[in-house]
Amino acid sequence: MNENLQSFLVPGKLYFKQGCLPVALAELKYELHKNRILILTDAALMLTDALLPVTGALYDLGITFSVIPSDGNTLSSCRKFEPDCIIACGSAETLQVAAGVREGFDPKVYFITIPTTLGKTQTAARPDMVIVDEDMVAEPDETAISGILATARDSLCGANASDYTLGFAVQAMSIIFGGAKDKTSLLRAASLAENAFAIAYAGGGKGGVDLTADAAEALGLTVEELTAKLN
Amino acid sequence: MSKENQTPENIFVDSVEALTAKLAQIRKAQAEYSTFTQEQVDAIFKAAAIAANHARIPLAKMAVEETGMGIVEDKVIKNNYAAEHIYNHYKNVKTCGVIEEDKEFGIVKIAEPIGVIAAVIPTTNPTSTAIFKCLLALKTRNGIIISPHPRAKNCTIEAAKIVMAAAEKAGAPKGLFGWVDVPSLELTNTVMKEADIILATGGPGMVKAAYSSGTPAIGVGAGNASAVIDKSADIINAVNSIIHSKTFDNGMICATEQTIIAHKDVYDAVKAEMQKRGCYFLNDEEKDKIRKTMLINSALNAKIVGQRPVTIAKLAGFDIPDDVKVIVGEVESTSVDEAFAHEKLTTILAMYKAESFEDATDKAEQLLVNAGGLGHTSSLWIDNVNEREKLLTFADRMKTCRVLVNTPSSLGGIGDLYNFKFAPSLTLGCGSWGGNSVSENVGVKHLLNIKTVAERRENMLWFRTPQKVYFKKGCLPVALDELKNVLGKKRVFLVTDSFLFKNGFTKVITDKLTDMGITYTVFSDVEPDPTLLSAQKGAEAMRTFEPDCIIALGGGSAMDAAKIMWVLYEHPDADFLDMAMRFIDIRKRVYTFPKMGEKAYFIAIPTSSGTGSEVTPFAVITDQTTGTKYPLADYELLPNMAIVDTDLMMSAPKGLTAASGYDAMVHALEAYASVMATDYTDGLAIRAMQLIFQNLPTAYNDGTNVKAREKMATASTMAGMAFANAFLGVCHSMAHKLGAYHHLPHGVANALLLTIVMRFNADPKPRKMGTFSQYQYPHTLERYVECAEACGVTGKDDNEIFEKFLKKLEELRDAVGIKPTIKDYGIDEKVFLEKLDQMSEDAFDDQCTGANPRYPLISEIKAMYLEAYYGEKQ
Ligand SMILES: NC(=O)c1ccc[n+]([C@@H]2O[C@H](COP(=O)([O-])OP(=O)(O)OC[C@H]3O[C@@H](n4cnc5c(N)ncnc54)[C@H](O)[C@@H]3O)[C@@H](O)[C@H]2O)c1
Ligand SMILES: [Fe+2]
Repeated sequence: MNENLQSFLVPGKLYFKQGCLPVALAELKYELHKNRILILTDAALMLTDALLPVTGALYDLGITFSVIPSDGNTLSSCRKFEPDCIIACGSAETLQVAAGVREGFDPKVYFITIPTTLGKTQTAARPDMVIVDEDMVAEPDETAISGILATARDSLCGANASDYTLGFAVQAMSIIFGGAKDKTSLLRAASLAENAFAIAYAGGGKGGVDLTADAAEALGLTVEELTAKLN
Repeated sequence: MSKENQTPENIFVDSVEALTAKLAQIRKAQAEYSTFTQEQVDAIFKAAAIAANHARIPLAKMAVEETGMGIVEDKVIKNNYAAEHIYNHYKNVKTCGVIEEDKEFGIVKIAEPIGVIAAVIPTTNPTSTAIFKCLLALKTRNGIIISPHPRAKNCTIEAAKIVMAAAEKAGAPKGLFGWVDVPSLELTNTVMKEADIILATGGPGMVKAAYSSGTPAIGVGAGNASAVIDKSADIINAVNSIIHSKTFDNGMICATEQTIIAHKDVYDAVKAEMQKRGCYFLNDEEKDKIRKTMLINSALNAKIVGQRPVTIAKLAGFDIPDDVKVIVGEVESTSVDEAFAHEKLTTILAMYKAESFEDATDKAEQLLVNAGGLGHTSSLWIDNVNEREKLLTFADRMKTCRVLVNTPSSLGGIGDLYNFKFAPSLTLGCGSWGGNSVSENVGVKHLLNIKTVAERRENMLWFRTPQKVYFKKGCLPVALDELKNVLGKKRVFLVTDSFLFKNGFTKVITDKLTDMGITYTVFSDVEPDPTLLSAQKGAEAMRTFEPDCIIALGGGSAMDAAKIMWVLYEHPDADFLDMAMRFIDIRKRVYTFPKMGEKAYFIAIPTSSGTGSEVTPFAVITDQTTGTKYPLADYELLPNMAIVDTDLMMSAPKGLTAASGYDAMVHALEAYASVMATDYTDGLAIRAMQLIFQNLPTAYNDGTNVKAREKMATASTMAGMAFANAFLGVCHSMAHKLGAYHHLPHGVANALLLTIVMRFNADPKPRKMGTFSQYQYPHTLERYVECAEACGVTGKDDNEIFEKFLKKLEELRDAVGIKPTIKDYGIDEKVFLEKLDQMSEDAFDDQCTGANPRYPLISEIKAMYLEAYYGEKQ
């Protein structure tokens, strides 16, 4: 990473809030004029109703779509479909695989991610749109909270960590430190932490940066207090 | 049945008292039925439909015998249809309880019965209409009281009894149906008055009575369908279909063809085919006889309704062969005086010759207007593949709720026989043209009350920024590498102001472009508070130069001017008034902003730390002729890339550093208090506030302090990202107008108003709070306290913390040399007061007002302006 250049790279559009999914998808038709949508998803999700909000909304909009499991040898069947938009919907691994598939396409093909789990879902190759709809995300379990805190903590040391990512990370920490346990709040915290992390590591691995002291100050804590809370 | 052995279930209704008792009994049964589940209802609906279907032949015979109209075999079809098609169409339709649920949107629709339906049944289709209405009532959990036509009362009641018996056997409460045994005008009126809804099928008089009863009514009007035969039509198909349709039950279905209007080129062929198939064309003398028989005192003669041609001719006083199917009168006038122009409900057809397709359409229209049938049905025979345009013209011109194409209109109009998306019904709505409340084929949905349960949902939120934001001292040339290496740009148009140009700010960019072999041109004619005129000049230069990349370098003025030039370059016809239209929700605004970025990539490079314009979707432009400011807002205006290089800000003069730095503080605070604030904007705003408190005084006092300058640059861009997504508030509304009316720098105007507006917003009992689904109760004080605590303010309670925070903000203002009051800036008191009312109203109407957590009254804005002028509450 160049000493003289830091960046804040985010998805072009990030939509969130319970129920945002159909509204955001409507944009595909009416503003972006996408007609053929490839949905890459976890094979396991395909066996449940979990995808219904996505496929149902696309069906209502009259958009052609095809659902393909992200494991297995997908690229050639994806190509045959000739999508003008790819939606990756699933866990972090699925989004990662989908990002790989997307690489094989023209940059004009629009890329959307819809996470269904909490945790490092935004580290995938930069999507054009992210839709975080609470109704799509599984109930967080006990490990979710420590996962979020770990992500926020790690973001403080990314080579590209800055005041921008610090703002997100601190916000995520203060939600968790405030004692939040419900899905809505944890989802908020997770998105913030993941965004901070994704941006802080946009250029690659760890750098010499450590914003822990700034984070502590911003939270009104001493460095020791913060470190204790984070570990 | 004698009156003596009445039980509550078999009251003989021949008086108002008996009717009242009957209604009470129906209501009781209906109350019980209304608790039935969908499964129970569906089982009853099915059993009733089967029973009605079994009785189709005896009921048909009874109807013909009693009314002396129509044909048994055809009535069998109608009965069969009323039972089978209605059942099939509605068997899977949900009519009980929750019928629709959308969890995502938080909407639940619940169907409930209406109560007791008053069913008025005609003579023309007595048993089939009774079956139809009874089945609808069962499916919708309503009770029904039938008012039969006196000439068809026995068969109507019998049909109802059969349906009721089957329903009761399948578990329906006893006594859900009732009827008037001895129909009279008085009883029919009472039925209509006492029921919860009227479902009236019949002549115009009856329908009018229904609508005048004061009870909600679904009444449907008379038909008078014309069949237009275009020269492109398949004549044999057309003629035989019309004959088939017209002779069905001797022409008694209300949608039946009453008239043929044939194009002159095919008129003879149509006539020949009709003659061949058993139509009798009247001579002039016979025509007159028929006219006299058809209408008596300009009302349809009931004796001819539903009769065979030979019977009608005999009534009119002449003989025709027994096997004639339809009597045809060739006529010319479409006026009300022509008896043939009216609805005949029997085996008589009128026939007109049209000079052209237009003439045919005109005639069909005149008939509807002059002789009745508005809103009901029209029919067209045409080559529907190659004459699409004519078809659409016809559909456009006919004021009828059914426009049937190449379809026999009697059986076609009742639906589901010739088109399977067309709901089956024996009660056909004629819309407002026919004086009706419905325009469709009446079905179950018209007999339900549908409740909508709408749960509160929060608006979709978003976070949008330029896709690339580069920062760090000295990052500019490095970031520009992308122009060539990644983006492949060839022609750059650089927009800046003359001061920056003359002082060499552009050199680092132009040198780099030269290095990379990229052609460029510089437009340095931007003035502070840029005008439309200068933006137009810039856009003109762009059109000549044809850049594939625009770089805006400067303060808010240069960046805003360049955004507008970008719009004008990409969309020369765009209308500013439309673009500047005020909106409540940026995603629901009426105006769709044109798509940007098709011609050029937009890079913003700020040289002052404050406006945040490099990351915002806003631009303000002034119309030089009127002085009007157009604030434009749309995410299409977001720069594609922002480069924030502190090197460019080191030389900013003290005044600019102070004003723009304080502006950034206000951006952060307003974004945090906004009703649209999100976690993303909160994180950015809080961090920006912390950085500004820590670094603005240093940047102001010692402009060479790199770290302070750098932190201020970051803070300003972060605050920009926050308000780009959460928007601002009343402080900016007021600052915009104060700046415009009295020529104060934007940041200074904000600083003069900030703490007054914060106190206004913090009131836990505001006169009106802001309207936004997410914003649940006034909590702005708590929000400000969160900011205060994050910035190191402590205190014993919220109020103390808040007061200390205001003090801290005022100290910061003093520390950077901004004076405390408007008066201190030498604004003449008289001038200020003169303009105050208009300025307050304009501020109220500013786009920023919408996101403010407290909805201000104009008088409250005025009071705040006064306080800011004098330095104390007035
Ligand atoms: N689009 C937005 O989001 C947004 C937000 C706030 C304000 N604005 C608009 O921005 C405008 C105000 O912007 P501004 O406050 O940056 O003022 P400005 O752009 O008018 O600049 C003020 C003066 O400072 C000079 N200057 C700029 N950078 C300098 C530097 N580094 N060294 C020396 N001189 C320098 C300029 O040449 C100019 O003469 C207003 O028109 C306002 O409406 C826009
Ligand atoms: Fe501002």
